[in-house]
Amino acid sequence: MSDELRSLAGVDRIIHEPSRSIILAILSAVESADFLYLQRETGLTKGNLSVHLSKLEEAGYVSIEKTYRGKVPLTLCQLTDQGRQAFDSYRKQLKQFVENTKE
Amino acid sequence: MKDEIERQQQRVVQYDFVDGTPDMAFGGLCLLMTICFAIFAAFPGLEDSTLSTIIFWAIFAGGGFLIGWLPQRLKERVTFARTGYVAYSRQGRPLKSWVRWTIRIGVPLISVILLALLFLNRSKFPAQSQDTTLFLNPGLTGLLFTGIWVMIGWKVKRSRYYLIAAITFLISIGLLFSGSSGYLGMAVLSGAMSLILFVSGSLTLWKYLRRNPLPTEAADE
Repeated sequence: MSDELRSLAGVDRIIHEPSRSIILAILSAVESADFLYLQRETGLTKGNLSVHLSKLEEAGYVSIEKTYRGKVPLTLCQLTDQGRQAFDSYRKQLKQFVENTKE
Repeated sequence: MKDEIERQQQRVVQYDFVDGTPDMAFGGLCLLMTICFAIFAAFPGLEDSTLSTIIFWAIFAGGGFLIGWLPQRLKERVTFARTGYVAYSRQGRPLKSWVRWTIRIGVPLISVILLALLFLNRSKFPAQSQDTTLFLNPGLTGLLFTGIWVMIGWKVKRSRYYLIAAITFLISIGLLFSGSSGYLGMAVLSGAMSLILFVSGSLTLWKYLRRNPLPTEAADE
């Protein structure tokens, strides 16, 4: 296996899933976003989004806070420092891989 | 994947402008400026009085309120219920609480102190004809705003800001060629910009509301 392929094999599997990488991409650009916004932007169902967020939370990449805005329940999602570092590192790895495998 | 990630991040930045509230907030500020300039134009000599200082402070305080608080309240009632809530961090990552409070208190305080010093000591500045200052030249000010709209349009990739820039440019050229100057010219410029921004904001909000009806069930998990 070449070094380029080996470097791809080493990417974070939690992030290396399209839906989760999109969730992290959105959260990396904001301080926090709620469940509704993430659902609309990712196009995922409530159940799927919930599962992906749980996985990201378990990995320590996202913090989830259940709160209220007036009487409306609000689930606020925020990228943790660990999540930001992991996402930055993932992007660097992908970029590196693309650069190395250019014709 | 890289393109998709960047596209998503761009969409997050655009989201703040999706409902037209920033346009209306800035339109409100322009309206306040129009009133202020119209008063100064109608009552020559007033600009040198203490009242003008109070009016200017009110404009700055009111402007800060309009640009900061009002769109946020509008968004809470209209946008967040329809398409979700987003809190922005200007540094791209959350600021610590004490930094946020220092900025919230420090920036307005320093601005007010500087403005107070400027107004209290304005008699010490060299005499200058009002018509020749950059601030009171409506044509040049309009061109400056044209540049600002182009920059905003480029940053948020919203074509309406290019249209606003084009209209502002035409108004500025008109003001330059008509020789309008002083407070009356500034009132015309800010009044026209206020109108454009209210129209732009209202149309954007109308389109947004039509496309995004209130969800019938709570989308929260």
